[in-house]
Amino acid sequence: MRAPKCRPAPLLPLLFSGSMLLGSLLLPALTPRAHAAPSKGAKAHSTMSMEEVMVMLSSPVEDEVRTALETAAMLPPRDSVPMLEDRVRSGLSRVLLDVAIDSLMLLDDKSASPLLLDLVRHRRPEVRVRTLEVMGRLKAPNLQPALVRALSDQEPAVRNAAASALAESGAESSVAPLTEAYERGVESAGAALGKLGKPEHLLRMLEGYAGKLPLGSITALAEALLERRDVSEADKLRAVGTVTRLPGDDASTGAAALLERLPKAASPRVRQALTEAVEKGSTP
Amino acid sequence: MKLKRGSLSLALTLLTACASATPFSSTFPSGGERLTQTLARARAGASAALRPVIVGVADAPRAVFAYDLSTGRMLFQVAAPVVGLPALAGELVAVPEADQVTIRRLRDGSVVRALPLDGMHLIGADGDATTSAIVLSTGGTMNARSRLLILEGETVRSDRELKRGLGVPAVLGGITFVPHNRVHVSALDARGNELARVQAKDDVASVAMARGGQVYFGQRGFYLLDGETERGAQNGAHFWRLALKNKLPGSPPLLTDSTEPAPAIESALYRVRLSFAPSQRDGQLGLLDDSLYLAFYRQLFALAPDGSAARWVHETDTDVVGMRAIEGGLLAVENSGQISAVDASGLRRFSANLGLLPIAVSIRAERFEQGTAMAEAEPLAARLERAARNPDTRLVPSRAFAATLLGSVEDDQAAHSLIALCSDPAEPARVRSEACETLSRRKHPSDAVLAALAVHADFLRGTAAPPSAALALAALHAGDRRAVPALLEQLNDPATPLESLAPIVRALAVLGDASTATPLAAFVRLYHADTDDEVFEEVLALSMDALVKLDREHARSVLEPLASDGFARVGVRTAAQRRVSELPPAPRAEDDDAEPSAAEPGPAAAATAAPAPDLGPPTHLTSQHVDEALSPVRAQLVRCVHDAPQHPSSARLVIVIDGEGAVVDVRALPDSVQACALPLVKPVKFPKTKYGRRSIMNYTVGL
Repeated sequence: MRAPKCRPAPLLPLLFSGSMLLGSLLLPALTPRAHAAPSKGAKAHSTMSMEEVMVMLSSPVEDEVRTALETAAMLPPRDSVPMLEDRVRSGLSRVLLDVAIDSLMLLDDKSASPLLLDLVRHRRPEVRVRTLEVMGRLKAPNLQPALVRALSDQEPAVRNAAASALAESGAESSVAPLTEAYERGVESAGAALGKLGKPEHLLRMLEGYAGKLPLGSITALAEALLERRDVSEADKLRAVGTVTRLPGDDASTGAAALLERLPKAASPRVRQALTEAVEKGSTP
Repeated sequence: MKLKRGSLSLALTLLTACASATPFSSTFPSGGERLTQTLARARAGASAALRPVIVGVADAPRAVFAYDLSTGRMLFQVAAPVVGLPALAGELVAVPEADQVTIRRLRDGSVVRALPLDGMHLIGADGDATTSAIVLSTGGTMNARSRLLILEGETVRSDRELKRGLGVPAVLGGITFVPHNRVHVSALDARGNELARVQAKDDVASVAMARGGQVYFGQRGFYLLDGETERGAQNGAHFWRLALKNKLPGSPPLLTDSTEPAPAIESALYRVRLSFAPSQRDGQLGLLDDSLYLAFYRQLFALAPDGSAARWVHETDTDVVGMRAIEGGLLAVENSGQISAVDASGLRRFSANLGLLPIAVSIRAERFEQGTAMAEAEPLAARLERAARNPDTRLVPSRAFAATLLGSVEDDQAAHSLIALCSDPAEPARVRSEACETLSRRKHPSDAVLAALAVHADFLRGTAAPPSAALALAALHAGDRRAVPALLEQLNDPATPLESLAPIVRALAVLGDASTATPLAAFVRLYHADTDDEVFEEVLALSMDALVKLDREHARSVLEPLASDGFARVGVRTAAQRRVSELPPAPRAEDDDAEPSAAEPGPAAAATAAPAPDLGPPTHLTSQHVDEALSPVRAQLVRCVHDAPQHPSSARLVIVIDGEGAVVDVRALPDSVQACALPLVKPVKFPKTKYGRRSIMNYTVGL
């Protein structure tokens, strides 16, 4: 067995909320033996052996299954991913499927790809969205085509999740489909492009689509540009200028939105330009 | 049909004797030799076909007109307060005008005489070269009054008022045939003497018509009036009944009901009509050119006599205000004044213009020199699709009908057209739904259906989901097994609408085989506890049926866990339990030692069977691997469950298997099964996996 990977600290409390806490309290009583390798940040769960988790996954009691699903995330992926895959494919209730996907996210293991490729076609959009979040984190090249396909999903939330996942996966090859999605109004595609595209290309896009796409799409792209460290101040001012030249109230509304989310470390000149645009818009 | 013919002298003798009887009296005998002789006389005296003409009503200013089709000349156009459709009566025209029916000369429109209505209206008129008959009536079936006028040339020979309803008359060889009291047709000479009578047994006698030297009558169908008519259709009468397989748009009648008041001249009923000409072939009564013609505003259809198939569809620029079936096609007149002759292919072969704007016309023509086709014939499917897409909203019923007619066109173009119509959100709902319904009923394997099933919704490309329900049913009805992979793809596409899933599963159940059961099982497993929708529950239940049908051997291993899964919705669980209970019982322990049955392949048979290709170890174990590996001990495991304390209905085994296929651990729920199950499962050898991964597999043992 190899040790589970270390996971980013902020994700644990977010993912393993109430249910995980319940599992932590129940586990010592349910599992007197400890087989699994200790896992950083998840001691209580690691006290269950894989075999015990496996048995509890088959329990008719929802809390036990939930605990097992959560504990599986603390086990070595080599063992827990097939176990989770089998349990998910055997059919879970909605709540438990969400927990299973959270566990897959924590496991962060590419061996979950076949399952994820199936779940990204699940009938419930919420499942597709969560699955895309997992896929984005995996950064697995074999998942890229599915992420791109998900940009064409019929559900806006899924398309946005796909764009975000592509941004997270960091594949520059997805710039073309993201551009297409951006043109079709997928808002998160703007932010994704802002992360992946070349600054000059993005500035040209911003200028080309200003006034043609919804304000949200324009500001999303501009915001991403303003956040990037590899974009010069001059180019950031160029992006701000594009927004503040939008017709009507869009200029001040867009500037206000950018100002609100502007990184603290942003250049004073950029901040000043946005502030002036907002003030100009509020002047009767 | 053999028509009895007697000598003319005998006929005259008989007819003279009859002439003394009171016309239309209740005691006048029907049928018999009188009828045969009268018909022989009428046929013998039949004149050559009269010149083809159009008479009609023009608007702004209101006028009656007559147009000679043979010369292309307007015979007359006279301003008059016309309120009904003029009727041709030989060389005369009977025109409903305000409070009278005016009898006008066909040659110039001048008035011969006027008939006050006296509470009646024009029912119909007819004539030949010498004789004209005109009928007015109050209509209705109770206390009806009618007036029958018979003229020779312009001289009135008989003008009789009757306390009964009369129908539309026909004139052949100087003899007037007039329906009366809805069941009789009487033949009258020019002086109004009744020569013969016939009684209809199968239809209403509402309209009589003379065509091609014969007399026909009827309403919902038509009789050939002959010596056999009295016998009734079941005993040899020549009768043709309209028996439609498709409801026609607007439901126009075959022939008018003479008891009903005539529609106002502005009525849309004049633009939604049927036309036909009777014909006899090989002694059988039918329709000329085997075609029934339907006009629906701007669309003309030539249909099979039962309305189930189209010969052609022809669209006009303006509304059709009158048409007439002729030999080899149809004559139609449009609201714009356009006259067209359409041939048997639906192509226009003659075109002229009246030079005025008619609102309704009557046409007299039996045949017509049509000229040459003015365009190339397009495939029928393309023409029907175009008709279905006509943007005129008044035409929605006939557009939907055009979609229905595509169902009888066998070529792939028709399937393509139906798919396009069924998928097009721009089409009215009625047209779409008719197209989808028709598509789903098609019985011809189609590449177009396969191609459409391969399409999936794609937001970026702007591609909508195909009409997968109709496509699945089309593949099902065509028995097209090629559709199975695409159907499975549609089943697993989240963009496939929920309501399409049941038809897809039904199609898979029939078209699929044992290999289809695997993805279906995956579908059922994945969703069985993840639904709060009754429609989806039904889909899952159908999928279970399909599993049982496609792979009975393994269905139990899929369904038993579902049947006992507390997370599944009650409906799904119950459905699984019912299917499991219908499966044959699992093999019992003592059966293990039994001789292999003759039907089962023994070791020798296995040895001679073609070896399966060696694909190497699987990457991971599947439920099927587990089913197969545990099948030798399954009966003993069933016994374990059966004998366990608390008598559980099932048990779940969690089996840990190492990469070499050896069982590492077995856990049973409930615990009471553990002791019995462990020694049975532990020695079982599972397939080794490609990457040596440890597998944890679930296995349910049900009673």
